[in-house]
Amino acid sequence: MKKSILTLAILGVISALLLSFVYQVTTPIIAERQEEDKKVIILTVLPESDNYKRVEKNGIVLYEGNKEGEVAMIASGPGFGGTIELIVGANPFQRKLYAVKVLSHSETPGLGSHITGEEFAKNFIDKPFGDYQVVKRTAVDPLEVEAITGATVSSEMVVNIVKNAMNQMLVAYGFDPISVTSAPITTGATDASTGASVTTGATDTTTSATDTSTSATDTTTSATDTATGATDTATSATVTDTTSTATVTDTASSATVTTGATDAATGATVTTGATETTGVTDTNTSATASTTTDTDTGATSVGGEG
Amino acid sequence: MEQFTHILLLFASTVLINNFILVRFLGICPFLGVSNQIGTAFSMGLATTFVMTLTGMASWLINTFILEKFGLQFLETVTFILVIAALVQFVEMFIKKTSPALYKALGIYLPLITTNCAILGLALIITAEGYSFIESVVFGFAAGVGFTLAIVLMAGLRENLEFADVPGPLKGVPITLIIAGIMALAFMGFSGLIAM
Amino acid sequence: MKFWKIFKNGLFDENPTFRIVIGMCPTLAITNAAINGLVMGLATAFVLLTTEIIISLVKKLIPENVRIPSYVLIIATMVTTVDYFLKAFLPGIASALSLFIPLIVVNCIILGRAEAFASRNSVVDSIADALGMGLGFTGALLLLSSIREILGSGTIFGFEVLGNWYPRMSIMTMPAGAFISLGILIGLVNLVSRKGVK
Repeated sequence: MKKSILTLAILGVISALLLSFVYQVTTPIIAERQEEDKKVIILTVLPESDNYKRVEKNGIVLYEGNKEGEVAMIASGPGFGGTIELIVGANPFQRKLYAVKVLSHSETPGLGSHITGEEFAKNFIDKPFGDYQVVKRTAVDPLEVEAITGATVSSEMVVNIVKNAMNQMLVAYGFDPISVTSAPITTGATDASTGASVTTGATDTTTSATDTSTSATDTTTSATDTATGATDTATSATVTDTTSTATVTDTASSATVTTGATDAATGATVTTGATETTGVTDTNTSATASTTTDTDTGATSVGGEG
Repeated sequence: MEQFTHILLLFASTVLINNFILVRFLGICPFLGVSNQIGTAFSMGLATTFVMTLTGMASWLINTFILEKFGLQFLETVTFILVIAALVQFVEMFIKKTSPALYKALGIYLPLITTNCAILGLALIITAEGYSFIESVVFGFAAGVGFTLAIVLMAGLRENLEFADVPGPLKGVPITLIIAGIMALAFMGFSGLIAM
Repeated sequence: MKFWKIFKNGLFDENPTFRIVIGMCPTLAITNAAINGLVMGLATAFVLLTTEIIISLVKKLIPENVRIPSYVLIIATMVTTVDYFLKAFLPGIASALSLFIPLIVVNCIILGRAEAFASRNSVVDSIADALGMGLGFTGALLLLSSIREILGSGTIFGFEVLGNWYPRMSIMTMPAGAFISLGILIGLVNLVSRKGVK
């Protein structure tokens, strides 16, 4: 008995010593590689920078490129099969999106997994900030994102995350967020890896009136932001105002704007502007945003994928 | 309430969407080996669920109070496998003393559980995901339930397969694997089940 | 001569995947791309080789009643070593194999051979056994992962082999495809060797 315990103890000590040695040797290499990988990834979404520095604003980690205005940010949110993590490169000062790259996902192979493809990534290259809308046809407008065939939900989830990140970035640099509609999360929002309920990215459909002085179409979706994120019952009312005068729509469209609700990854809660009267929020993108308003509500809640 | 919903969803997604056997490929050996009869498959499932729930607890406690506290993460695999082996031994002795009937039903499966990769996999997933104590326990229990579900379903199919005329070379393991493949296809339908 | 015989035994006659059907978890889980199958196979073979050598050397020093825990400890140590080195030098593949590298610990092949072979045979014979079994396992993983990668993605080791005319059977890269292709493959091996017919 004594010999048995002694043997195990000696083996345990040898094992611990050997492993701590292995750990000492490999840890710096692992850390260095991860840092290198990260650098390569960050620089791919920042067109002109060749270095960056990490800053923290509003509790969000941002990577500022050495070229003025270029900022990258890692964002994540629910997808169809699990959490999608992506990196967004943009210029919040010029309100311009450079590129989006998917870092990790667990979407259905062969369908949703195409979110990593070049074809889909093209949708986000050099785009103005705005309320991107997923369309199931060839995109004609710069704010339209072409859905992946058979993976509309995955496409929408990526767009949601991008829009959230965009607004978090804007808020971090002291700008007003853009009002965005987001696809109601009706499917698959379970986080595969953690199994956690996805309250996150919760993207809750706010949509104050996308009201522009030139536009006659006013889509007002009342935002029912369920705190638990369990059911997203947004898009309850879709008011299409066909009145041609812009002034009329304003009063109807006072909706509480809670943009980019909570992002699970960063845990940062971005709650901007309590009650915004009039559809002022997107003055910058007014011209483009107005053209897309008709495509959103109907197509967004697709039940299944594939 | 929120917490409760979260736990419930974690449970459902672990059982159905990320089923340990059919999606994560953990615990394939007993799945192929002990799925001849519904009765034995159920006993195996029960024993595994029991050990998995305990492993869920133990791995959280060890990781939080020993490994993380003293920066010994590199001993994770070594520690967990030894703890699991000891745990299984302990459970075996405990059941033998307290409930001979249960021991008779589960006894022969207990030693097999140590080398069931679903158990070590569970412990490693819990640390990797950083689950809370409650989450770890529920996750362990749900993983066991998912394991039981898959193995009992498979046993039910294999009992009926006795009457089928399976081509010689496919008898035994190959046909079981093909059936498992079709089951995995069916379980894919659960992805997207839980709407949030 | 004996060395060769033991080696061949592991490689073909008692091939862990096709004959004894053990170590199924990694066989199914990570064989969606040829490179993953190859690295997983070699990592397992390395652990098998080192543990068999160590165990056959120290077999007389370990008391009978703590044999299994001691073996497990040795195996777990080697596995963790491999895990850290893969993370440091092949980070991409290490993240693709993720959980299944530490899970080599409970791969029945390792403990099975340690117990059944290394604890009773000389170092040289153990090396032959480890090489045969290890390469037999690697070969099986490589075969299965190549088939799955070609049918599922139209590529092999990432190189395109089937043109755009080929409709990718994505199902082959998913869990269902893993089960079905391995089932058919074992069936074929049985058919060819005519040993599976009972």
